[in-house]
Order: sequence, then C-alpha cells, then structure tokens
Amino acid sequence: MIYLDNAASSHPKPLEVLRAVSRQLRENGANPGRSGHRMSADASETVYRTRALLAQEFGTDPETVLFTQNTTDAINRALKGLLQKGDHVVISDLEHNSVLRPLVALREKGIEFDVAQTTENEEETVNNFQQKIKSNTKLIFCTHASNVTGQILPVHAVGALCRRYGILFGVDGAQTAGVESYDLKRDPIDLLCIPGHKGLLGPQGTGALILSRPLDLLPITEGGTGTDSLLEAQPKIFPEGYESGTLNTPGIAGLGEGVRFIRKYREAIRRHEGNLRNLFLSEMETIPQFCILSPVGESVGTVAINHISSHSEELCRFLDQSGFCTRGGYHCSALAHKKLKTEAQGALRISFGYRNTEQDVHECIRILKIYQNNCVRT
Amino acid sequence: MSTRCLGVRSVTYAQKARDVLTANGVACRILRQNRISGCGWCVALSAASIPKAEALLRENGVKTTGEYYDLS
Repeated sequence: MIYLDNAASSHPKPLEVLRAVSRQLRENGANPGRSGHRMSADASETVYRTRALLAQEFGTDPETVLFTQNTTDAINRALKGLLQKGDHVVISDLEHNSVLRPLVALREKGIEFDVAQTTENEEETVNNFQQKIKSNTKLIFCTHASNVTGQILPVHAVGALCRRYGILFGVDGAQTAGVESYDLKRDPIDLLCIPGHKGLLGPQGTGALILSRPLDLLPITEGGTGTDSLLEAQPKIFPEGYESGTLNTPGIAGLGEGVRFIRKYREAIRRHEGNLRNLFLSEMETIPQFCILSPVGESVGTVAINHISSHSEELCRFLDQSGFCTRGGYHCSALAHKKLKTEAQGALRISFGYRNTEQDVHECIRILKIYQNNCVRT
Repeated sequence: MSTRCLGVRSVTYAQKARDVLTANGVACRILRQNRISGCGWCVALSAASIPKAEALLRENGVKTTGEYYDLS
C-alpha cells in the first residue's frame, strides 16, 4: 500500500519512535509522578524529557505543556476550560468539527460564537475576523492550516489583531505542528492545540495543549494528580492539575523521539512534502476531469481534489483497491465543505508524508487516469 | 553538611528545579515529600547552597512552596 493519508495520522513512524514505545512498555510500566520508587521516577523522567522538548519546540515553559490524548482533547480542554457564560468566540470558516462541535455544545451554557470568512488575501481575512469582534469576545480560535485543503491561514496577523483588542488567541495546530515553527513567547498565540501523531511523527493517543503562560483555565477532568492528595478539590497546578489520571507514558516516550526526529530533519521534510505536492498538482493538469479544490497559495503537503461526476468516497474506494490510502468524504469539517460547496461530493484528500516518493506521485496519477478513462467509458 | 528539602508544587516543578540547579552547579535530587495537603515533591540540596538555589529558581521562574523540610 502507498500511504497518502498523513493529514489524518502520519505513517510510517521513524524507527526511533517504535523503539522508544517498545522500550517503555518492556522495561518500565510504572506510573509516572505517583510513587517514589526508582521505576516511577524513571517514568516521570521520560514524561518530563518529552515535556521539556515540546516546550523547546513551541517556545514555552515545560509546565505549560499539558499532555492530552489528541488535538480534539486539547481543543475541548481549552474551550471548556476558558469560556464562561456570556463569552463570545470568533472562529474561521475552515475549522474542524473539533472546534465547531464543542462551541455548539457550549451554546447551551450561554456562550456564543461567530464564523469569520477566510480568503486567500491576508488583509481581507483579518478584516473579516475584526468585523466579528464584539464587546464580549474573549477568544479568537483559528486553524493554522485547513485539514481539507491544506491552505495556511495568516495566524500571526490574526494573533496581532487579538493583541490589539486584548482578546485571547487559540490556534489549532493539527496540520502544522512539526511543520511550521512556533515560539509562543514571541508569537501572538496564547494557546496552541497539537496532535502528537501527525507532523510530530509520534504515536496515536498523544497530543498537547500548549500555553504561552499559565492562563486562568478550569480543569475539565478532575481526579488524581500525584500531589495534594488530601485535598478534596482539584489543585490548579500546572501541568498536573490538568492531566488527571495516568498518562500515556509509552506514547509520550515515542512522541519525544518523534520531536527529536523532526527537529533534526524538519526543513528537509517540509521541502520534500512541498515538492511532492507541487509535482502532484502539475501532473493533475493532464487529467481534465478532475478539479483541484486546494488554493494555490501557501499550504502544507495536502491536496483536495474531486472528479467532476463521482462522489469522493467512490474515488477513494477505487484508489484503495489500487493500493492507495487516501481519504474521501467530509474530513470532519462541515464548515470547510460548506465553504468549498462540496456538500454533495465531499472531497478526496491526498496528504504526503516524509516517506513518500516522486514514484508514489506518478503511480497515483496513473491510477487517477485509469479512473478517468473508466468514467468516460461508463 | 546538612541537607534540606525545598518543597515544590509538582513533580514537573521538581524536575525543572533540578535541571536549573544542576546546570548551574548546585547538586540536588528529587524526593517525595508528604505534607499537610498530602503527597508532594521536594528538591533535596545542601543547606549551604540554599541562597544560590533560591536565586536561581526565582530567575528561572520555578515556583516553590517556600517551605523547607528536614531530610528524615
């Protein structure tokens, strides 16, 4: 199989990641941060090393790196921990359901939100966000790159707008963590939600909510923290007060190796994935029955396409039968498909990873041509 | 040389304190330390290094409880 679904989860992982997960499972199954014995202390050390590495990667302090299960978990913790009755939020029209659905659920608690239209023009996009700001706007939350089309949004400019208005700014880094560089002490970003298992090449079941500084955040899960055990109320201690329950230590061990790998090869990977995307787009020009949904501007290594007359799931099945892992349908992004006017067809998403080759692109194009020819015949 | 334990708010702060102190030549180790509120963590270090340690932790934004315990 040729794997072209890296926007959903990257595959394969570097060998170092596999070894770290395996080593943790084989050699140290102790619970980190709970007991005082040596194995538990070593497990805590593994967690801390990854935490400190993520802090370095994203330009913040280790204690404001809060481990989560994935980006969705991080976004839920951010939105539900920050927002209170009467607050207003602005989001982009390219948000994933992991942003939209918690906000729809929060409407019941008296929290309202508006959607700002994004365009390929930075100034227009920022103006559209500005138009939606109200006196009670507490937060603007915006994806850094669309999970459907790969389009990169001007988060630094939107963040600067937030600074001017004294509004908190949260970013969904699901498609950009490990690809783009961040420095939360410098960038106008207060909260960043990231997956461990996509661009950072870690295992599934890992992610983080990363804060530029300790914010007034309510923990949405209460329980054991390994500290202040005689207190009945949840201690609001960073980070443990926001990570109740046993952590995914093997996953976190693997994530640490993924981050090390990315920090070593990031530029080469970004260039490689960009080249594959460009090659794919230029080859697509030879298949007129397909349309490209992704904009031409700045993008991560993801392309959304459609055949003019068939549903994306049908095309996805054909590619699967031909040995390709891609994604059809709606990519958990109702807003993006409404914007792209692809509610009837969905979209076929092809997302390149560091292990893909030019040969993979040529082979995929060859299969798409066969599909086109089959459609012509029928 | 007597050893004293400086209370910190969590194991992460203990680890951060340990990294800051050892990087600046202050020998220390992390220990569990039960306190009135239950389980806690502390950094054990020589009594003589406390002024330097406190200054380093302040400079590097490492929060402590400000409490010291005798190593029992």
